Amino acid sequence: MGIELYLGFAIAILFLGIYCIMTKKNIIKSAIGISIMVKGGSLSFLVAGGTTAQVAVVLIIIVDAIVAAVLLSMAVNVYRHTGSLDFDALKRLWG
Amino acid sequence: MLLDNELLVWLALAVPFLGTALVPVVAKAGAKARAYFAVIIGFLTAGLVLLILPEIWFGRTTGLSYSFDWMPSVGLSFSVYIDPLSVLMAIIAGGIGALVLLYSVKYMEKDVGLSRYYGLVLLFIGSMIGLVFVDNLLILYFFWEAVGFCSYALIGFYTTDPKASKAGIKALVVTRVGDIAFLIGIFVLASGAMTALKVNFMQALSIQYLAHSITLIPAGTLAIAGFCFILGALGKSAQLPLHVWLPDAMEAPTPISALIHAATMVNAGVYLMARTLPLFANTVPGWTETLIWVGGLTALLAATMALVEPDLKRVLAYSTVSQLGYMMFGLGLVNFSGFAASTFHLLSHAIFKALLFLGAGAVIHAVGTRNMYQMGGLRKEMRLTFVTMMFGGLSLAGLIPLSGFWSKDFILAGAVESGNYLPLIVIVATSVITAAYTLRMLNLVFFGHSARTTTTHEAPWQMTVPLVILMVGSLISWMIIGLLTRTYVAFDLYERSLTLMQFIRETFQTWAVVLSITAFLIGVGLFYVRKRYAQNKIGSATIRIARSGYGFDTFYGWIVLGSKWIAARFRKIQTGDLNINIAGMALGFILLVFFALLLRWVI
Repeated sequence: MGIELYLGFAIAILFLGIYCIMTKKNIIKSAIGISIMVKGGSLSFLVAGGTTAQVAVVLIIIVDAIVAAVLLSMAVNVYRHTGSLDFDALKRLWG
Repeated sequence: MLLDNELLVWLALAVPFLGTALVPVVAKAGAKARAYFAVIIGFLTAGLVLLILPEIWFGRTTGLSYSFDWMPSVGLSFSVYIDPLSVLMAIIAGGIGALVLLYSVKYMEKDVGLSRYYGLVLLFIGSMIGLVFVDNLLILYFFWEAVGFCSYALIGFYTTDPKASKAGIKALVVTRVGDIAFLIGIFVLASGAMTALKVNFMQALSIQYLAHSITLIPAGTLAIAGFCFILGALGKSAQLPLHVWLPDAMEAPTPISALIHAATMVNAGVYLMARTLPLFANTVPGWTETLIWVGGLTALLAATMALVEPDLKRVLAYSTVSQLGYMMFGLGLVNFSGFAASTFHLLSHAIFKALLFLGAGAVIHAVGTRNMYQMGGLRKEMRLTFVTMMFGGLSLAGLIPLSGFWSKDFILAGAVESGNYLPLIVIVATSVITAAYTLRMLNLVFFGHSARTTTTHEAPWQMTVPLVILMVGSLISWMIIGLLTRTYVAFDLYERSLTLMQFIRETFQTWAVVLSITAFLIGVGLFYVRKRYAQNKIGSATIRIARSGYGFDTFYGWIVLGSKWIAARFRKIQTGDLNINIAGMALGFILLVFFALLLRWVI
């Protein structure tokens, strides 16, 4: 039963993240959602086991940190531009 | 040998690309330095290719073949295979490219964005040389795409002119149809070879390897691949029904037109067909007939369109389409000297067409219009351009003893020998019309009386030197036929080695020569009665239909409108709302997992 349980947990976390991005309009919340999603992914790697998986997870953590930094800096810029953190404020890009 | 052959080959491949990278750096030293730097790189490339020539053309019987491990993990190696055909094509690309660069120095002087211009021209030449040197079909396809991209970017060089941008996009989209067919053909052929010959993917892409073991591949696979390859060549070489991009490509700067028409882009399709002749010619039924008919009809239709066109550059564009049709036709006659005749015509055409385009550029540069009815009487004002363009034009028309006569007659002789008379009639009719439209063009530009109020002057030396070199080329290039056939025989590409004297004697022994001389004379006659013919009802109706390009553009316009209509219907689901997009992604992900599970469960 063990590995299925872990995998189920990982998938649940992944979908929690997707659900977060799907329903929230706030950029910061979406960034958090993306981070949660990535955690689900790296957890499934760890479940698979082995040293390669651990190396991959370390890499994923690094990339995730960079992604989060870029997202948050974008959020800051969006806020400066539009005065709000709502995605709908960017909708005028819709051509 | 001065330099090691292998080094020479890699240098010839690398120098133009290095030049491309360095153009913006040299531009810091000034516009003049940049232009002459590009010219030097162009001539250096031509020189390097020329140094490879003696090695291949004298005494060898197999090609130079080198390999360099590019991506060892997937077994992809950058392998070159150089035989007389590759060298011929590379010399055309490098030599004419160098002359075009020299010509551009003055012609493009006053334009902006010249780093982009020179960089792209060098990239264009380099990609073409790469295309003809490589052996692996997949890498050939990379260069094929690079050539397509460069032509797109250079046709749309005047970015402020919406017409030029549209012409560039049109060239890209139309050739894309052929490119996709070509890519499909490559994969079909490779998968067929992999299963039939039990080799890995990269081995199955080597043209030389395939040529040796082509009979083992199932006929159905070969047929699909063969016709896909033809479609690819039709797009690149602007053959019916994918010819529509080439006349519009005249929005490009004139040196670029010369480059595209004579040296690089359109020759790629002919090269591909010539290269893959050993694969398909005798294994796929109907393959050579397709080439004959597509080439013949293209030649005829394009020639009639050239006959009625008022725009000088578009006349030349249609004439290129028509002459490429000749080459395709020649390749279709593979069992009747077709290969030698067609590549021979490719050489003559490259020289006289580059000459005509560069001459036309000098005229347009001086007069400031492309409409031939506003020119006239230029023979006195631009004497050198007049003389050189006369040679180019008469070579195109097929006057003895200019190069165009010999090569066209060689193809005609093959057609006579094949005994297939219907295509022969088509191609002779094309010769007639070719002579007529060439005379019409030369007459409108140089003879008669000028309607202009200002007088013009001769072009500067940077523009006339290439013209004179090309004029000499169009006079003497046919004399290499002895060397050409001897090398082809050594490489087993052609069965009969002819000396120059033998070639001349044989030319005048078949009755093909009667046909080509008669065709030329009828063409001259047609030119003299043109006014009377144009005024009757049938004449004016023909002219109207030919001016509208036989409705190809209208037809493609409908296709574009249709796809725009469909796209507008799909526009509604593109809301741009992040939440909805993510929901779609999640849904797709779930469906993917679901189907994967389902598939597993079913199987």
